[in-house]
Amino acid sequence: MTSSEVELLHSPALQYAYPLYRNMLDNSIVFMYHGPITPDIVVDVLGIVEERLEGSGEHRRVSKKLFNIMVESFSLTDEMSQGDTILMVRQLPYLYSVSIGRRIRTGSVHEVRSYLDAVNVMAPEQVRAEYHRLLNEGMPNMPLTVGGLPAISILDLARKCNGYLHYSFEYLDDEYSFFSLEAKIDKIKKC
Amino acid sequence: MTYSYYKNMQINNIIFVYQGEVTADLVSSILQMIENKLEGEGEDKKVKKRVFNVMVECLQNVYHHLDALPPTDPTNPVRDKTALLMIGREEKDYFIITGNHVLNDRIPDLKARLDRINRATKEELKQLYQEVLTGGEFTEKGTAGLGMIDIARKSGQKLGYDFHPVNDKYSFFSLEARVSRIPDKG
Amino acid sequence: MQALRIESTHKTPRVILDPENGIFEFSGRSIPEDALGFYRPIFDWLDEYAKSPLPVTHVKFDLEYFNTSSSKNILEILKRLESIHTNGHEVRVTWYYDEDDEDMEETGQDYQALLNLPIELSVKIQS
Repeated sequence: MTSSEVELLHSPALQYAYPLYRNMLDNSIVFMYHGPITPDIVVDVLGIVEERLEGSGEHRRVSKKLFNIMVESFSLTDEMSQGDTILMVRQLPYLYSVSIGRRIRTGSVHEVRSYLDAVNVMAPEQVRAEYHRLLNEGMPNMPLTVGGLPAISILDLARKCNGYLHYSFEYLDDEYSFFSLEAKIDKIKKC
Repeated sequence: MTYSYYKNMQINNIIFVYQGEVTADLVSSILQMIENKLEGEGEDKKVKKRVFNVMVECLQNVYHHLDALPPTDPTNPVRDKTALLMIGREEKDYFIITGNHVLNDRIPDLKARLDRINRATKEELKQLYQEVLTGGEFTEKGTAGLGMIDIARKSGQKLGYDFHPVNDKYSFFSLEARVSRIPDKG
Repeated sequence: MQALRIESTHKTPRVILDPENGIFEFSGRSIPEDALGFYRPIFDWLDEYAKSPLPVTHVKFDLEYFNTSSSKNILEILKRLESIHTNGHEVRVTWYYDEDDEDMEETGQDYQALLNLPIELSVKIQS
């Protein structure tokens, strides 16, 4: 490895560049964003995704789907704790995936896990009905939440990617855990 | 999996990282995001301009380099038309790192040029730029030659680099430009 | 009463509410930072309009993308329109969607299912 002699002047990230590249390549990760998610960032990230999809000649149906999922996944981000959200987009031969990762209160993990498990076993009609219920009920700007996450967003994502939401939790400490949700989109439409 | 990336990005102060093909439109979209990000961070006007200009140079540089490559050799296991683009923000500086594959036999030349750029003073950089522009000592086809000098000039800081061997033909070349968040520096 | 016109931004829709000709339009994107702040004036305007609406009101929705927070607010708009309609002043809604956008089509269907309001689903002509 040949590196610049002015060691002190580069960031640790420089040494991390190649391993990260390889890692992203091996895991089919197209890009990642870490930071506070604002509507402006949403629009810009969507712009980047759009360009990427344009290049890959992806069928419009898939790119629209991916787009819509991304729009909704942003609703799950951590507004309270600025900067503590990661967004990841992966592109595999047969699917795309959008992942959102953020902290949630360790005390809420059980509630969120139970809710996701319940949604994941619902039939499509049930998901739709539950979505309608949440859409219709309550005040539009005071959403029903599950462990701090808007329930309707979870249902919307489940509906958009035909049922299954992959998730994981990582215990950090008694106060916070890390929560990640992945929504997958098949490139090939199932009949 | 997501958690380890989250942690790494946090530790390394990385805001955004992209891996894949680089098109002109993609570069444009990324720059749009950076522009809005800088706006959102409330950075000083001078800093914003400087960071943005360096970003433009870095992204254009890698884009032109990739573009200038010969068609992909079917026996090549390396995806030489793809790049890594990374942007981060530390306490005192923004940094942008671009990475792409290069042929091993290009490395001595690249390294020599980078070291030459890093040794130069502001004035010397200006002269170097003119030299290359008019095809002097550092004759170089295409814009890749001027690109790095330009990045160094605009960033006001030395360029960081790293060559990581991949196989007997290729290595991965990472280039880092740093831009100060302090208005009067650089 | 005065027409309500809101120009679009990269994250909020264009809104045109014209009481003179009874043509209402919502187009563009909806991912506002402050959803209530954006939609409240529209609710208020519609409440005022409902006091003396035209015999027929045409409403067009031509949205590129929006989040569920906006979905709820759009439902609130539609509920007000439904109210005007059921009180004897016809309201005709056209929900436009991109041919390849299944989610936008489904959202139109959601609204059809939830309301007693004539909502027509219509494929956008590609430009």
